[in-house]
Amino acid sequence: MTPDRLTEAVYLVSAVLFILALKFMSEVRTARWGNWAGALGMLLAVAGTLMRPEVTDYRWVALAVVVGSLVGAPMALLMPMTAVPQRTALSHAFGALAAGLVGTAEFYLRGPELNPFFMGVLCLEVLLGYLTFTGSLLAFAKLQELIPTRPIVYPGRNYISLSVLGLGVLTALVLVVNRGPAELFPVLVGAALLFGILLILPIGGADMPTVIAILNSYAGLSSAFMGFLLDNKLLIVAGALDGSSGLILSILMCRAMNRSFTNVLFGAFGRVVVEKAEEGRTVQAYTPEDAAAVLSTARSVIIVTGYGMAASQAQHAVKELADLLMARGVDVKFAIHPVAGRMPGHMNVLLAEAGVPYDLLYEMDEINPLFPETDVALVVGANDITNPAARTKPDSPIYGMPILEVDKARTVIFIKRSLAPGFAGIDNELFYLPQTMMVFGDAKKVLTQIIAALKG
Amino acid sequence: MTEQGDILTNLFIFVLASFLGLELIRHVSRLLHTPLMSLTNAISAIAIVGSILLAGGHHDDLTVALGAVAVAASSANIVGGYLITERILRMFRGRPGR
Amino acid sequence: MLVGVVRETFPGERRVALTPAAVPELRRSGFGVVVEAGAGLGAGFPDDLYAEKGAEVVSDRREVFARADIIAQVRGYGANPEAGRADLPYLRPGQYLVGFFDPFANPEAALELAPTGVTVFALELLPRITRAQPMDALSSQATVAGYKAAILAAEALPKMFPMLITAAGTITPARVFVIGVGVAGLQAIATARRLGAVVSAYDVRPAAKEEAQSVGARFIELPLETAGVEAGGGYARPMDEDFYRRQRELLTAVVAEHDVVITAAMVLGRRAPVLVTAQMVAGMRPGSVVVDLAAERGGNCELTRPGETVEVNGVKIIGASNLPATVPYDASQMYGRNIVSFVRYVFGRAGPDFGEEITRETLLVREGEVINRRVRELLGLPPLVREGVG
Repeated sequence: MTPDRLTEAVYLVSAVLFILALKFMSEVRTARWGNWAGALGMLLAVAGTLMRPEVTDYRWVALAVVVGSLVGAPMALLMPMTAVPQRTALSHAFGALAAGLVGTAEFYLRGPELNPFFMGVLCLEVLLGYLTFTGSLLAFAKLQELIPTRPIVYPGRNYISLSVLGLGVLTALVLVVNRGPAELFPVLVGAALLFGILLILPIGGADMPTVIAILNSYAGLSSAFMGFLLDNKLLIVAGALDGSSGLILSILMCRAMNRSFTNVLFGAFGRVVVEKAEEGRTVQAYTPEDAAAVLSTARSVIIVTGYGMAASQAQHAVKELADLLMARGVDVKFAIHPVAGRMPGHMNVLLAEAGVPYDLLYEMDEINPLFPETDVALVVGANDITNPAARTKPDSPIYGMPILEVDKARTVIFIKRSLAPGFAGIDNELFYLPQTMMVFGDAKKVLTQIIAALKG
Repeated sequence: MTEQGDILTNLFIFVLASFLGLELIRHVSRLLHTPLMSLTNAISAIAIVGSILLAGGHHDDLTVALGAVAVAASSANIVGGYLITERILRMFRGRPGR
Repeated sequence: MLVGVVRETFPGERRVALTPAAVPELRRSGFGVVVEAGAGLGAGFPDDLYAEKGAEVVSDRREVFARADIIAQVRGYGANPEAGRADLPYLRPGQYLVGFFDPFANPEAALELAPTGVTVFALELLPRITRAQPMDALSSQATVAGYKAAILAAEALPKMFPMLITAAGTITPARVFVIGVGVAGLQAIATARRLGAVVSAYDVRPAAKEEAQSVGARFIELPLETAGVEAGGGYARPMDEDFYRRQRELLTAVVAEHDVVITAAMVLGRRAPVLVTAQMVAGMRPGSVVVDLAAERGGNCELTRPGETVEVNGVKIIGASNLPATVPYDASQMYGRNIVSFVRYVFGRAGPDFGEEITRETLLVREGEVINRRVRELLGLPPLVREGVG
């Protein structure tokens, strides 16, 4: 095999690995291999490139890789886990910068030789690369609260943004048609850099994760265009995968956060967007399959039952789930709050009917100290008895009532028909905590689905 | 330089890969949104390929310099991206060896 | 503060206001406990158990009244009108009484208590809010009553409750109908289900349907206009005679097809509505059983005689009376927890805060006056002018 053929073969394997990386990452079961596949794919991509005859001088490459790694590693390892979005944004900025710089270098290196198609592709690469660079930096700054997280709007922002974009596009067109003058190139770069900032400025901190996904998409497209420019199929494949998955991911994230996609995207262009930070607290809604995935990795589970289980007559499903978990070696306990249900002993009679042995049932005082060490608290139709407001809000009607300290568990899975309040008629603070997964639906139905997902 | 036919071939590949990305991600569970975002971030550092060609090639100083910076930047992206993803995935792990 | 417990003097009352288990809880909160000898015997708690847990046991009842700041009783004077009178002379001004006082059925007792200068908390008056649930003695005792009603029915019925498919043929399950899905009714349903019966339930309140179904009963719907029937706190508002007449008509068919009818329909502060007439009983099969939990309040069944079992046409009508006293061990256990919760809540820190909701609402008598608004109405007294006594 000639060196070029070998590289192509390596690139092919690398592309396959990237595809597999996405495939593995789309299912919880295989997710961990996704990262390995991706890393291996990248390793091969780099190796394959180094093997090419055009690459003669390894010194700068080696030095740059070391410098870059020294920057990247602390960035990833030293961050708190709550800072994932901003670290991703920062990482993005680096990648996008690279794309922009490559386009820049190519322009000055081969500009005059490029036919309109390639010039166009180069301009697109540069445009996307630099705007993603500054956009990502700004997203990072907003999430890190280096600048205010609220949307920064100013009069005439539509016109300003559009004209900057227009300037960039116009410059690109001129470059494409005329293949020059070279002096216009910095204008293109400048416009791109500026537009990136203007695009992100009016978007609020809450929408940032979605925006980062879109920027991901742009960075991917930028790499894809680089691929067209350099006639490199691997770049095209990886870039296109990123481009489309980034777009879909941002739409999915929008839906999951209950925000309108167009609202987020076009926030820069003037529709709505003056959302106050506190308005419309969102809960995180998950599917029974998600709950099953979390339960399958738990070592200890405490099941908290309430009136919802009674109303749905789901006690048999609860027993079945408990049996299934115990058969897999999970430690399962039932927490019975003294006023759970609508009559004294309500939970007892139902669980007894389902055949749950007495020794699995724990009173509130016995089980509260165990919540902090428990992986999952599964709440089936209980509400007020888990509401932390009883501990924290003096003006709440349930203040002072002892509760089951479900919020101290590592993860809370909450099965409920809807967000309607319980007997005390108030909102449950537990719903809005980050460790809480809400699964909406009838208790019996949801539990049956969880059981099916665990078995399948 | 590449021919017209090659451009079309590349376009084919682009379109196919785009659809593939779409299909792979469409029904992903909410649990995986964050690690996916981080993974695709790492993959977009594929720009390193173009960067190496510039930094390691036989070019003028400006080109090599730009290329080197690009290599450094995409290396930061690669290392950072995969490590972040790994940390996110670690949180999912329940019991060792499961 | 010292909490005193005396033996219950109401005929047939075997419960005790505090069980030995409750004593350490009170002591932990800084209360002392003094107990009349023999107070817990009827419920199964001998004196030495009390002493072991840190209570002081005294042989003379009068000493308890003389020394205790708070007297805890199951049946206070209003709920123990004859024998309770004997304790009146021993009450001291400034003393607190906590217990059941039956204020709506027996308001005169409040009038007699007032001049003694005591402050009376009647647990029947406790507001039915979430925070007060640990103190809700009406619920805890109703739970016992509901459970026992099902047991009595099973005992009296010539049939077995559960279904059995055997070589000697198939035994069909008993059909139990519970009217009145309050705390007692729900527990009766649950107990009957545990014993294997097929249970139906009816309540005039629409909200009760889901609750009945949540313990496994089939809810009977009647085409009646039930708007405005909710009185809050799990009670129904008294309706007019026409409503009850129509209700009885519709219930006749249902009652006839059941082996057991357990009635637990009560309206706060008034006679219980008559839901089962003699005619309806006549339509029941011989051997059927009616357990009337409202017997002491007039009875849901026309034929009920409180404390007795009447047999008409082979149908037994059991006038349940003081059922919790027949399960005194656990009934006292729960009642004791209610008392402890109440005492710790009201007398916990600096002393009673009469502006606070629970303390205020439960107050029956204070500083020589009958405080509760509804009881004053029943006595024909004008409302108290000053809001927030003390």
